[in-house]
Amino acid sequence: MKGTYLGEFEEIVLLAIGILDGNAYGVSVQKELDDQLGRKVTLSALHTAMHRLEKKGFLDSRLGDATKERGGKRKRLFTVTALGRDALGNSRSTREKLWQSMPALSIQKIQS
Amino acid sequence: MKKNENHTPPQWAIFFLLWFCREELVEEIEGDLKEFYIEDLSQKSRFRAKLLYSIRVLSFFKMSNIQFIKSGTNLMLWKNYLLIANRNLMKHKGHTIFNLFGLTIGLCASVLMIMYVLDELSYDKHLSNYDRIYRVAGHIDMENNEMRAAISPGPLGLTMSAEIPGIEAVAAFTHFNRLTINVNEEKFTDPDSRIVSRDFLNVFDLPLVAGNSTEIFDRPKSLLISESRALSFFGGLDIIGTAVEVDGFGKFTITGIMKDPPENTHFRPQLLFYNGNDLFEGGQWKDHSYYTYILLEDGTGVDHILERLPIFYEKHMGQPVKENFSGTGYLFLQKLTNIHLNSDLGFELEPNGKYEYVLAMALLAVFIVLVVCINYMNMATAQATRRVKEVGIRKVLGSNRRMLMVQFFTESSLITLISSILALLLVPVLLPYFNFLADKSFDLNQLVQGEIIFSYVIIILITGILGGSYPAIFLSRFKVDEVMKKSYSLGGFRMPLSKVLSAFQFVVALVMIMLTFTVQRQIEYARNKDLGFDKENVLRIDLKNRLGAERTQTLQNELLANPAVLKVAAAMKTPGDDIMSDGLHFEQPDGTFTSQKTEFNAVNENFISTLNIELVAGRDFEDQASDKWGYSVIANETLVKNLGYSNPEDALGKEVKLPIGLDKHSKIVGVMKDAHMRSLHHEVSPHILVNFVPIVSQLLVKINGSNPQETLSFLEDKIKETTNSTSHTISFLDQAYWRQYQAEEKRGKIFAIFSSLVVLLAVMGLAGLVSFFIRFKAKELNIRKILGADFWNVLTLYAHQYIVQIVLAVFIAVPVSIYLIKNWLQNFAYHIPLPYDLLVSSSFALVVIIMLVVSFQCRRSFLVNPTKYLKED
Repeated sequence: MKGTYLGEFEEIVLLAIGILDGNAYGVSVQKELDDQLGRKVTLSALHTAMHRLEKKGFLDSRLGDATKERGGKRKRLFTVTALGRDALGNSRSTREKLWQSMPALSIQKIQS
Repeated sequence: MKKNENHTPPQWAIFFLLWFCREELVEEIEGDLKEFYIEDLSQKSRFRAKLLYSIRVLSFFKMSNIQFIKSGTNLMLWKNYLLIANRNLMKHKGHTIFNLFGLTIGLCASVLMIMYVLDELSYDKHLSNYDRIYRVAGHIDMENNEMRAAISPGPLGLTMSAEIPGIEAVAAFTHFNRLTINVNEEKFTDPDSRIVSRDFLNVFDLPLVAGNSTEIFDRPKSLLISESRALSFFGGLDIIGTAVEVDGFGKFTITGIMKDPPENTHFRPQLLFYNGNDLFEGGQWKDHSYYTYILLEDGTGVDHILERLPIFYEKHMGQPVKENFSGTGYLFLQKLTNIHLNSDLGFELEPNGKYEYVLAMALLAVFIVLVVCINYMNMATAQATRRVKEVGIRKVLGSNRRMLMVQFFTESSLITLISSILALLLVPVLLPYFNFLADKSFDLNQLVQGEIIFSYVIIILITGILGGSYPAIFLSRFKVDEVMKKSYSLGGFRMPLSKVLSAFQFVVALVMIMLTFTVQRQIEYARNKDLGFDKENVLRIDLKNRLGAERTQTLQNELLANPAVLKVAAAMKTPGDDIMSDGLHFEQPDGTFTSQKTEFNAVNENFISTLNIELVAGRDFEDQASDKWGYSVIANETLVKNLGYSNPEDALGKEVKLPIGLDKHSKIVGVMKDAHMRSLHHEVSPHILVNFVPIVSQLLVKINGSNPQETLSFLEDKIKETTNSTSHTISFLDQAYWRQYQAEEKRGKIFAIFSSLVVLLAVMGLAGLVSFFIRFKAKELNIRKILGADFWNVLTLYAHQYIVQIVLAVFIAVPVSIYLIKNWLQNFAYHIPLPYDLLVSSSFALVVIIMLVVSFQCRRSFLVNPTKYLKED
């Protein structure tokens, strides 16, 4: 269980890649995060995060098609691995657990 | 033409990316960037797209993407070096602190010195045309002496520009500098006032706060005032157009306000009066009461002007000079920027610095840094020999020589860096004291100049490199097997360079001690020498305005009414002032007249008695009124001797031609014993006192000293009453006189402080070295002890190498000191003889100190139980 802790940024990057379902690469992930969350991330931060996630084993990658728009350069497509899905699930259940343990009154306060 | 196809992202960004980025990442990164670029192009301007592209490229410039940094290995090694360096420094806290202390002081001192040197070299450079401005000065050769002065006749400048091509503008102004202005019933006499010529601002383009430079001196009776004076006299800056009454000159109108002149200029006027150009257009050629500066045309060489000067001189000044001084002379030009450090003429505007002192300061800084560096080097090396084992292991494990050096450099760099930060923190603390000693007013803003920062960085680099180089080179040369052998410490301990370096330190320290003591002794001598007049309990009152004969007499009587006031005299100059000299004509034994450069002072009849000057012939002055036939003159012995009178008595009754009372016959009525009217820097020159009161502005008051404070306030009140102004100053004559040596004293203090530092550091450095050496030899020492040697045997054995160093140091230091001392003492016409005894005693003192240090260390090792050391194997 130890290596599956996710940072906040890493988590949303993983989620975005999951959403894009096989079509995830630098440009598309950045757009997705912008569209969904209004959050503007720098390309280099994104790249670094994705490569780090790959090193941790949460992502797989392969080089994809070259297109004219990319000046003939191929793109690297990322997919979430099983381990990655585990990590996401872990993160989600951890938060759920903590939320459920909160006394009702506090939840009201938080939600208002 | 398809619009978007041809647009490529900025070339440089692409190249940059391709250069630094890792192989395996470059393709996808470049592709993504290109995609964004195309998109940006369609939505935003081309410029923005390119900008965004470039920013993104830069954001990729991260450690993880850069291709030639083998992340992991190299980084780790650096970290290791730092760690070890830190650990070592912590382990030998004492030594580290010592080195830190030394380095910090050294670096701090060098910063201060650099500021000083740079400031001195920057004088007068704030004017925009400074490299084309020259001062016209004159040289006159007379029978017995010569005169070189910064002053010139009024019409000189404008005549030059009319007759010699190549001069763009001329600025001239008066030597006379005390003009009194009246503001709201109050009188102000500022000693930095000048009357200027019309084109003054064309040469000295002083920055203005208000007013237009082409209009300021358009009309006569205009006044240009500095910001600070405007504020202190008028309380505000809205004064353009205000009329101001100037004593003796009428109403002037303020036409401009200038920024206060900066500290680093040789000429700092505060009020400039324009009274019409007649003084400079017509005017006399005999009257050398002005300063003349010329601005050369762009492209004119100064030689061009110099060529024409002799003819010009002959035409205009040859005759007046012959008449006035019975001599010949010539004009010469001084570059504006040379004046502060290299000019030493009569009547300089302000006391100038001297090139030699600047040099001395710079050398001082260099020496301090050197001494400190040497200490560090020696210490580090000595320390390092303890770590030979560590070095050996490192070598075995594969460090090549280069890496070892890097380690030592890291250590020295670390400590240098820390010191440099500490030094910078120390500078603001010491700055006020330094300002006081150096007679400057530096503030922290001046620290942030480019040149200072640059020099500081260079010094830090050199120190770090020097400090690390010696141990690094020295140690990394050892062979591994030699080092690992246990018998290593029994063998030789050779650090040859250390001895030379230590000796050098001693030479520097010794020279500095000798110089310091000499300076102190000379100053003592100057303080106590009999000056030929009394300065105790004499007050000097500077009235700043001329009172005229009647009012002076009245004031004098009123002051004498107080029983504490014993005598009152009036004079134009008091001892200690810069005295004017001129070529005056005196009757010689054979009846003919000759011209002598003579200092002169106008005084009243009480001068001689107030100061208690001795007369060797003739009589004192009587009340001026009784001199109906002319003015009475008292000459000094030197003058009389120069004129050819072997017996002072013979000079009595001889005639003197003075510039005042030309229709009368002034005579010598008395001869006074030579007195030091100026500081001991100057030879006693021919000097006369003239009984002529109307131009006096100073009073000398002898009081009986029983209640000085009371007497002082009495004087204050009386003077305020009579002169109706508060601009006068009262001071004690001995203090005022002493101010001539102020600069010297301050320099002496700086020198003394730094010398002690150097000595301290040198001795501490030696102490450190000796302690290491002794401890290194501890085993050997103890074996000897066991075999029967006593303390003295051992001491002599180990001490003799230091003796050689010291003797060598003394041999070098003494001649160097003698040379420097002779040189410096020549500044004084009256000085102490070469202080051989000081040379001997300081050398001896140093020897004793060093021997004490060595014996102390020896004793320590000696007394320890031998088994402690022998166990180490």
